[in-house]
Amino acid sequence: MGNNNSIQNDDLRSVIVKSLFRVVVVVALGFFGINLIKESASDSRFLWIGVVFIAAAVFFLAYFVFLAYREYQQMTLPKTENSQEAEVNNDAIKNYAEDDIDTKSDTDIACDEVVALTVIYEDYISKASLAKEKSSPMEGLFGSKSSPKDSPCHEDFYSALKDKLNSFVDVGISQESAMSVIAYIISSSTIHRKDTLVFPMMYAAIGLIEPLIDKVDASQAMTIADFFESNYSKSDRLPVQERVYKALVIRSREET
Amino acid sequence: MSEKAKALKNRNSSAGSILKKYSMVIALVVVFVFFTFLTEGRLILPQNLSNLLLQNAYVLVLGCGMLLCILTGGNVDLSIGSTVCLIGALAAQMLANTGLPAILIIVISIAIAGVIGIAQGWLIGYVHIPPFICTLAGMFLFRGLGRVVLDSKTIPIQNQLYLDIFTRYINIPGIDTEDLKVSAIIFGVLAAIIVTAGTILGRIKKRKNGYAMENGTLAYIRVALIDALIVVYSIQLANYKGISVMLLWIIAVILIYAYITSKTAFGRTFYAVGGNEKATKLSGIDPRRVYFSAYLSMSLMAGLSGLLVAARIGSVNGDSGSSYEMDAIGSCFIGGASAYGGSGSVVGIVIGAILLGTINQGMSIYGLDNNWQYVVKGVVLLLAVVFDVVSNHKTGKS
Repeated sequence: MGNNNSIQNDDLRSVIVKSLFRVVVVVALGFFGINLIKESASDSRFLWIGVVFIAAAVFFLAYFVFLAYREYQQMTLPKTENSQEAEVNNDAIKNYAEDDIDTKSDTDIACDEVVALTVIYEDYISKASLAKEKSSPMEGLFGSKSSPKDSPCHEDFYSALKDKLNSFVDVGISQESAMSVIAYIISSSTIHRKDTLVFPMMYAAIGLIEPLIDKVDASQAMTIADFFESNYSKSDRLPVQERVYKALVIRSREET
Repeated sequence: MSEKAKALKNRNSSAGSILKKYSMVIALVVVFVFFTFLTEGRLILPQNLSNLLLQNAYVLVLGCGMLLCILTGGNVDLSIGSTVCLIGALAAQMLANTGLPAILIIVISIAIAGVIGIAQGWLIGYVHIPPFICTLAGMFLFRGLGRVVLDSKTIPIQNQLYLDIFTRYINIPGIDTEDLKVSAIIFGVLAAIIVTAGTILGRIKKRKNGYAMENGTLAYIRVALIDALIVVYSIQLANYKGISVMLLWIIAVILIYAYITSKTAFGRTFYAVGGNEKATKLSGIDPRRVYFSAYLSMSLMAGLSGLLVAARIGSVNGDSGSSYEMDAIGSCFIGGASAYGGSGSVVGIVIGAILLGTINQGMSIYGLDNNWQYVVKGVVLLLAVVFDVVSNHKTGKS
């Protein structure tokens, strides 16, 4: 309930700030335009510049009214039952992602598939750390090669993960296990986001979950898509991650 | 460890991270205050504050282009100083010897810079020639071509329209007077409102989407300080000649690059290639295209700088643009771009360029010998790179 109030306050604050900003832009353009037209008696060139400013003020006024109408429509849209459910599930994944993988015991982890993935991820992190420790600070400086970024451990991790996921699909993974595996792969990249050594390959590995998307149901796909969207904005997504996100969104709409 | 000790450790580490985050801003403030005292307040005279940005316009423009190259893995472009000379020389010769309109000459000059960028980008991205070698060759090649175009002479620029496009001061009749350019203050207040509104809306959007946010008090204190700086600076400009068109060019370039690097997926690709090229490929990006784009954008910015510098100085000679590449590289590293690639920001480059500019101008006003100015700049650059290497090694980043 408190969270809803906070979001409503945010909406209200957002409307006030946006409106004030838009009023300032229109008034400033109009102010400059009127002054320039007034001065056109001394120099006729100012007339046209003034007219351009006034035209811009009118254009922005119309555009801002349109934006305000669209925002009003969005604010008054009722929330669907599904999206409320997704919000709850989203929190569950977030909590999962915020916990340190190392602190989870095997019994906390949902299924054998995730246990197998944990081994691959832990092996990758330790090998990458070792490569970093062995390297000198000058390696990788100013575009030079043979830095820890070029260690074979990154590609080995990707290949091992790909093989493992393919084996899951070949054997026939259950719906719940597929959900756990997808959640694990996405949340792992989120947890290691600040580690510039392992994050890029973990992020690329998100592309490997594509064959598993068909295994989860619509509400699960929506939960993952929401979690993904709240952690990686549109500008953060590279083509493969964007493709996965779109596949999740399509899946989430299939059975609703 | 007790709860109290843990809380104290957390507080210390968060204070440490804030200090690290704002280290360059703190350095800028310290250097600015130091030179203000050293020059007995002459550094903050309206004319000097106006010149601080205009004299460093080329560093800001080149720095933005250089950031994309550095992001791709610490690569640099050594040819930009020579490109500045060549493009300036071509523009000056066309203005002096052809009857072409100034705007067309500007377009042609930028197009030639684009061709240079395409050539270098193709060689680096698709032929895999190391950027250092390719741009080193370009440095000699374009400097030589520039001198050939100039016929080893100094060519003055007298075309008024060309000069107006880059160097004129904005004077709005009915608002600005001889003593006070009110338009500069209005512009400053508008900019402050935009910064404040942007911060508030950004925080609201982040909270709505559940993204991590920095401390609210800290964010609003920062915005208040930035707003105060913008308004004070605009008042100082109003007391001199107002806002120069060159300042608008700089702001436009900074805003475009800041938007590309922080708000677009295209900008993210430069960070991704610098992070891990193979992972970027697996994420569906062609790294060759990223290198190509970085060096193309760099050459376009070098072309624009060539035009800006030619207009500001009013002439072009064979030494125009000498060591400009070092200023651009310096501003990037001082501004926090990593020599390993994958990290850096446009805001950092602006701070780095202003810091370098303040040191340059402070030393000039103080009357320090030109040779010593190079020594000081070299030491500052070295310190910035050493800081990057040491902090990267400590935090385990690559």
